[in-house]
Amino acid sequence: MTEPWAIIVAAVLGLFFLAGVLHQLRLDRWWLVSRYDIFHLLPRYSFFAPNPGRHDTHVVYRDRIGGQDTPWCQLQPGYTDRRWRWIWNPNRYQRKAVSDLANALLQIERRNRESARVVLLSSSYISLLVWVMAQPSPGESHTHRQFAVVGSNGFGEARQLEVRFVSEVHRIRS
Amino acid sequence: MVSGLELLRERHQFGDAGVFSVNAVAAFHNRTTLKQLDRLLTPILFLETVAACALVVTGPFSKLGRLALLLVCGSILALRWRRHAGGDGAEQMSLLVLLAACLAVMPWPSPTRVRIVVIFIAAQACLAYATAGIAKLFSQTWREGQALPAIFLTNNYGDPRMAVFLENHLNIAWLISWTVILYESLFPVVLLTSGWLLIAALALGVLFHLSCAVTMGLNGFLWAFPASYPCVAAFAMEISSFTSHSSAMLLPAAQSGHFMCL
Repeated sequence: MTEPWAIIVAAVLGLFFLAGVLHQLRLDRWWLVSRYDIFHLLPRYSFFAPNPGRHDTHVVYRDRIGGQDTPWCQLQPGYTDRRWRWIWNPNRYQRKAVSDLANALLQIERRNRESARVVLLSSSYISLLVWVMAQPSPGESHTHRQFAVVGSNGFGEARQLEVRFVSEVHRIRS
Repeated sequence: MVSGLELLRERHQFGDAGVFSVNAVAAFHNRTTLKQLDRLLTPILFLETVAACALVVTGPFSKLGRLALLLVCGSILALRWRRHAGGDGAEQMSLLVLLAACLAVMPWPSPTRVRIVVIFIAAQACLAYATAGIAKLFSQTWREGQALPAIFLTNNYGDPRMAVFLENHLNIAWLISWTVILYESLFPVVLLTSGWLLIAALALGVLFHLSCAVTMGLNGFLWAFPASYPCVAAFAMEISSFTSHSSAMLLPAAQSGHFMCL
C-alpha cells in the first residue's frame, strides 16, 4: 500500500508541474496565481527567446552643482575574466540584477506611456534610485542627482550606445 | 557550492552602496525583515556553501545528508528572497531539484517518493528544454540565425572573437542556431530512447552546456541542468522497460489471436 505522504508528494509535484507549464504560456490572468509565488519558484524557461538580449545594461548617474550637471558616471559592475567565467563568475548576480531592474522599469514605462510619471512609483525605479543615491557624494555642493539606463552593444570602437531611460532629478539628502 | 562561494565573494553588494542593499530591496520587501535577515547574511552564505559540500560528500539519504539538504534549501530560499533580483534559470532549476529531493527523503527516504521525484525532475528538464526550444522556434531572429551574433556582441554573455567569427560566418551561426532549436525542442524525445542513443543525447547536452559556460559565462547552467540527467536517464529506462514488458505481454495475445484466425 502506498504511503499517504507519497500520495501528497505526487499531488504537490504534479500540481506544481502543471503550474510550471501554465507559467510558460504567460496567460493574461495568470498573475492572479503567480503573485503568491514569493520565492519565485515557478520557473521561466524561455532562455534568450523569443527576443534575445542584444544589449548590455548600464546605469549611469550625474550630479548637479549650482545648476550645472557633472559628466555622467557609470555604476560599474565588474566583469569576470573570460578565461575563468565558465567555472567562476561572481559578477553575474549584480549584472543580472541591474538587467532585471532596468528591463522591469522599461516595461512599466512602455505600459504607461499616457501617464509617464507612474514609473516613478514602481519598485524597479525606487530600487535603482536608492542604489544610485547611495553612491558617495563628493561634496555638499552636489545637491541633486539623476540616473539613466543605457544599453550598449559591441566592443571597442564599434561599440554602440543607446539611452533607454532617463530619470527625474532628485535631491541628495545631506 | 559554487553559487554560495560566488555570493560570499560578492557580499558587499548587500551593503549600503550595493544593488542588493536593504534600502534598495525594501522597494519589494518588508524593511524590518530585511534588516533582521541581514544580521545573519554572512553566516547564511557560509552555511549554504558548507552544507552543499557536505551534501556532495554524504548524499541526501543519510541523516547528515538530509540535514545538509534542508540547510542548503533554506539558505537558497532566504538568499533569493533577500536579493529579489539577479537570479537565473540555472538557480531556479537547482532549487527545484533540491526542494524535490527534500520531498523524496524527508522525514525519511522512501523508494516510492524517490521514484516520484525522479519523474518530476525529468519532467522539469524536458519542460525547460522544450520551452526554450519552442520559444526560439517562434522567433524570427533565431530562425534566421541572427540571435547568436547579436548575443555575442554583448559583454554580459558575449565574446569579441566569437562575435567576429559568427558575423563573418553567418551560415555557421544559422547552423548552430538550428542545432540548438532542434536539440532543445526535441529533448523530451530522449525519454523514448535507451542504451547508447540515450547516453549520446545526454552527452550532447553536457557538451551544449559546457560550450555555453565557456563562450557565454553561463557557469551555473553547467551544473544545474546536467544534474537532472541521471533522473532523465532513469525515467527513460523505466519507460523503456515498461514498453518492453508491455510488448512481451502483447506478443502471446497476438499469437493467440493469430491461431484463432487460423
